[in-house]
Amino acid sequence: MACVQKDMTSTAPLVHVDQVVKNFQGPAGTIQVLKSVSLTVQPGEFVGIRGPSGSGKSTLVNMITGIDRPTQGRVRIAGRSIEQMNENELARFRGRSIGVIFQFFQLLPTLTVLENILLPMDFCRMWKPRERQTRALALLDQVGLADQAHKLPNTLSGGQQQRAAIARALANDPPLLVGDEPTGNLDSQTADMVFNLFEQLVAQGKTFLMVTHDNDLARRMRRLVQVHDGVLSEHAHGAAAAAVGP
Amino acid sequence: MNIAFRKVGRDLWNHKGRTLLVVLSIGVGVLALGMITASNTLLARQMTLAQAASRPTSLHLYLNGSVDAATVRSLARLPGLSGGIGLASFTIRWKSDPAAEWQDASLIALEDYTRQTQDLVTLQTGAWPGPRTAAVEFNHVAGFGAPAAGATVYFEVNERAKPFRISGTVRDPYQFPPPFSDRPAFYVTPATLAQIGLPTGFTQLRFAVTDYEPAAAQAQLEMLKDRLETSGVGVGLSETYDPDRHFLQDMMDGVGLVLLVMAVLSLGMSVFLVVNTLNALLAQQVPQIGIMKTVGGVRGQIAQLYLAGVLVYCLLSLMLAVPLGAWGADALTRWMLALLNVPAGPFELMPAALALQGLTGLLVPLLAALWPVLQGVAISVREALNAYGLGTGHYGSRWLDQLLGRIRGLPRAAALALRNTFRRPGRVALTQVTLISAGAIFMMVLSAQHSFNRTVQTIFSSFGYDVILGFEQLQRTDEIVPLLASRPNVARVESWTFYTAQARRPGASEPGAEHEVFLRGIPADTQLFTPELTAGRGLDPRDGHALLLNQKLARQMGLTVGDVVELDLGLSGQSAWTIVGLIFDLAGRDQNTAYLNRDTLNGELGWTGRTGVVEIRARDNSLAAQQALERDVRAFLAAQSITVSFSEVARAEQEQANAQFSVLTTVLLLMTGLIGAVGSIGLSGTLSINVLERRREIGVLRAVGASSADVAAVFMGEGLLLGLLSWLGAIPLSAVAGGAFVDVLGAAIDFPAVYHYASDGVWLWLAIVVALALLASWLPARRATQVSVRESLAYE
Repeated sequence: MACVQKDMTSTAPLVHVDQVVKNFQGPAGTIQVLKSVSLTVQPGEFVGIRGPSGSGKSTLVNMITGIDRPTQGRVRIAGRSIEQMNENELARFRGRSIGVIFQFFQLLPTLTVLENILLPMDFCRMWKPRERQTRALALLDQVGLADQAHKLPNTLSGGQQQRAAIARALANDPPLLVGDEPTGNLDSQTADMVFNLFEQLVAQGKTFLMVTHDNDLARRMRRLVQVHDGVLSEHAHGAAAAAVGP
Repeated sequence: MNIAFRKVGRDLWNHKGRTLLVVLSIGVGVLALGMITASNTLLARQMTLAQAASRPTSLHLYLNGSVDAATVRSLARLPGLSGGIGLASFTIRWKSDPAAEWQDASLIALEDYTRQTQDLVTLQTGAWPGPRTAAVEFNHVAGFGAPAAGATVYFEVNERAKPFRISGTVRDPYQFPPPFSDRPAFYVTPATLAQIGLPTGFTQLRFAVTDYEPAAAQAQLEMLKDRLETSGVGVGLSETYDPDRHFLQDMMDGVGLVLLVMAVLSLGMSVFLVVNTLNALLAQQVPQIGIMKTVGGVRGQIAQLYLAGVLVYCLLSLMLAVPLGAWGADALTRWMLALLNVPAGPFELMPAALALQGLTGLLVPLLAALWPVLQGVAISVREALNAYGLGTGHYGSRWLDQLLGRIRGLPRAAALALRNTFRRPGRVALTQVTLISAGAIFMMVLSAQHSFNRTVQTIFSSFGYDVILGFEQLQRTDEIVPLLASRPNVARVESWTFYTAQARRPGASEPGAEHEVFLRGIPADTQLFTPELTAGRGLDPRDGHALLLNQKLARQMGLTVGDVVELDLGLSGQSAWTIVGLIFDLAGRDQNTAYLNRDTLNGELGWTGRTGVVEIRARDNSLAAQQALERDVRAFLAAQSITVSFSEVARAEQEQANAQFSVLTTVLLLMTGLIGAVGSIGLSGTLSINVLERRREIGVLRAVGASSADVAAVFMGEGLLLGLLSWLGAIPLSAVAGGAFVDVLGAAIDFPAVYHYASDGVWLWLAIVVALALLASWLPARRATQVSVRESLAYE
């Protein structure tokens, strides 16, 4: 994994957050959640984002995924400035280029696990229609859920739901995966299993940004970004990450 | 099927209750529209078919005397006429049992039943009348309890009951079942008329014209009247009819239009419910919209999903509304045609109504859904994904929230119900619009019924008589009045004069300048008539040639108080009269009445000291007493060899008039019922949505100790509050719009009723809306009590 990362550092960054400011209007006035933050992530990197509650880490992730737009600054993903895209362009770009994994899984409850994975392919018209199911089943097999394909999400355990969500994030084979506390709602054993899956994906060439509060998992990441009061500070690798943990 | 659309299907299936409510709310509106449209079309078509099948005439003349068959044939050969018939019509008394009381009936004779040429009377069952037999109008067998074919009817002939076998039943296009007719019609041959001592000449003439055109038809009518009067036969009443239109078509068109407006209103309310439901559905699905956008769904794709859902609602609604609408149209049409004595055709689907149902059932909800859907899918991904848990939204920041928050001292459940009710002002507003409209229409319909009844009452109260009698021959006033005054239960007798004349503005001679007017000569000291003056003053015994003219006729003739009107009294010549007052009076045909000093009128007619009509006031004026008095005076006069040509009992007439309006209000109440159903579906839908939206709150309530009854009380309280609010809103609306509604209805049925607000409707609707609110909130409240703490507090 380390080798892959080193090779990738010479190429153009996959994620380039440039002096991004994000303000929110609240009852008490304007709150600056991100204070001119910058971050560059190269292809193949596995980057952890940590910080106390309310520090701005989820906002940072939202800037990168295009879920929200910066007040100032630029966000470039795979060389494209996403803050200039309209809603539809952004949705399509996100669907093809970014796989998002949420803490609470966010599977559509009325679709089966398989259908949840087919949905991004349908929306983005990726793959030929007859290939989609084969691909979705392969992804489910990859996350160990092939036998659960036709079940509804609510009938699965938390770990299974999150693995299904990971398969969905991979549906359109995006180069970038972003997880906002994807293990936060799982027990430690399941979280470990899911994290192993992330590591495998990075090993296969995916770039992964992950918000986490879990020190044990943070230690396993080579690069950690600390967010505190809307400001970023960075640690080189997992060993250093352990030092900044609470 | 596209995966996303599977989600639509499952959302609809998993929320069957909500799907049912939306389907019902769209369905009821589309049903009403289809039912009324199809019914209007069917009615018009059957009336036109029946009209054509009867070979209708255009010119009707009611004679003061009679003519023979040769005269009818001679007149029918005049230029512009294409045929004519004569019929003899008399009032006779009948009973079906020798021991029963006598009742009035029409006795009609046609020249030859088997060779009819116009206004065909058709044989329904049995045989045509012959010697010592009579036929009966088939509607009157059940309607008036007249004897059926094979049974015996007794006619009063020379004060004795003469039996006639009923040979068969017939359908006469000019007869109606009750309440639109007050007596049955029997049919005999001219020979039978002669047998029972009645004149055999024709008292009514009807002629067909070659090419109907109103002005030409009127001119031909005038020509016929001139011919008849020249030969010494007076014409009492004359009318022209368009042979291509049923004579009640205009009235039915008016009623149909009112019903159509109500149907459209009901569809409009359905639209509000669709908007409400979709707003709620989208609010509930906001996180899912966020996820779909996160995984690549663009706004158009997601909007398509929800619009596809609406399309499914529409299709399900149509599956409900189309067959029920067709069945309802058939039932409604059959009922109304039966009242109009028009034969109904076989069950039939009306393509135009089906197309309208399809078009409105698909397009209207989709268009209504467009705005909420576009708004709903426009939410940003961040907002969508943040829409979790309690405390989201802006509750508390609006003035209304703060105002409601200041209301203290309420039980906790009541406070929750009160504040929750207004959490979604848009939803509350749409629900209120639906319920207020339903309530206002209900009260307006009751007010219309009340107004018609009160107007009838006012008309009858203008006339203080209890029994009115008309004589075959003029009677000496100084003899007949004391005679009748001596009878038991008679408080007062007045002699009046009734006469039909032609009125015109002085010097006017153009076609259409002449207007038929029913003259009523009233005694100077009358106590049985109090005019409803709208301008000018009442009659003064010293006035001489003065009259009170019906305001409607005055308006048609362009006359007002102070103007002079010329009256053509037929064989008695012409005279000029000054209008001293205008009156509101619904008597006469199309309100063409005028009231004059009896003695002055009698002087012009040469009837001084004689009378054709007496009006009697009874001491006891209950219906039974009035009917007893009528029987008594008829028997008494018969004993004096005085033939009564007609008699009426005031209260029975009033009840019959009221019954006629009850038919209209029954149809209107049927539509109101549909609108009320939409309203209650809307209320139930709103409350169900509230339950769905507030599952987490319900969980919190449960977690802090609320019992099922506490939770149910909150939701039932909301339902009740919404119902009561709508009731309060409906009262002023119904009061303001009710007047216009009565005017429109009055114009439709040509009965300009005076508006009276029905205050009992207010209390009746209160009871209904409370019942509806409790019923509509019971199911959502029950569902709320079944929400478990664990599942309600869990995230999806």
